[in-house]
Amino acid sequence: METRKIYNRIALLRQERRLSRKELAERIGVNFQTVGYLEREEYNPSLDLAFRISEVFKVPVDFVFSTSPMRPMSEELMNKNK
Amino acid sequence: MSNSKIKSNLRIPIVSNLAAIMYIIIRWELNPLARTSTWFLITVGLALFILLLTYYICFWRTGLWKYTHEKVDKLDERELAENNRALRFSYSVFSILVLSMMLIYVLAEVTISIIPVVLLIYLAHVLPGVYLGFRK
Repeated sequence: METRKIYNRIALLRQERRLSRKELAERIGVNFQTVGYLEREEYNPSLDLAFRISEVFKVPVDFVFSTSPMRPMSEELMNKNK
Repeated sequence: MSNSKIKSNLRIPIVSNLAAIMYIIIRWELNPLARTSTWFLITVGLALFILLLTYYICFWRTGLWKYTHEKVDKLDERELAENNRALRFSYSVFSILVLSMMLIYVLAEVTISIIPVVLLIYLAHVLPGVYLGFRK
């Protein structure tokens, strides 16, 4: 089965929360290299891992992950305020 | 260091490692009577040295050996998936290789000696690392 590419905002959220890859990896229970793979969108996480990531950032899963390219946060905020 | 440089740095010793295995097996089985000659001992000894050196460079120093022999509960889901792909590749290659060798031995009407068996067991253990070393 061919898998779809899953886009994410992990790098952005991690930097915003001032977390290192190692710290985030410890919180979600993976190797820090896996965080790099996730941020570069080279690996699609399982549903369990996706939920763990969204729980760390305290945001809904669909805010972190998407099947279409992520829009810039500023654009999303603008649309929300309209 | 660029990614392509890392790849080529690891690929050359990996190929040397596999070539050393092949060389020892062929030399060992080709002429059993020459096994005690000085030239044989020098060349096979050199191949064995290359085998050990490249094993250290490719699989020990890089952590590939430990990574491919790690307990399942110590790996995360991405590492498990990666290991799984590497093991699938190794299984296919090793099966084809062993079946081909068995066929050759049967056709040539010779019995397999302990050295090729030991090297084949070693090969079975390093093949997942070979796959990962070539891909990473």
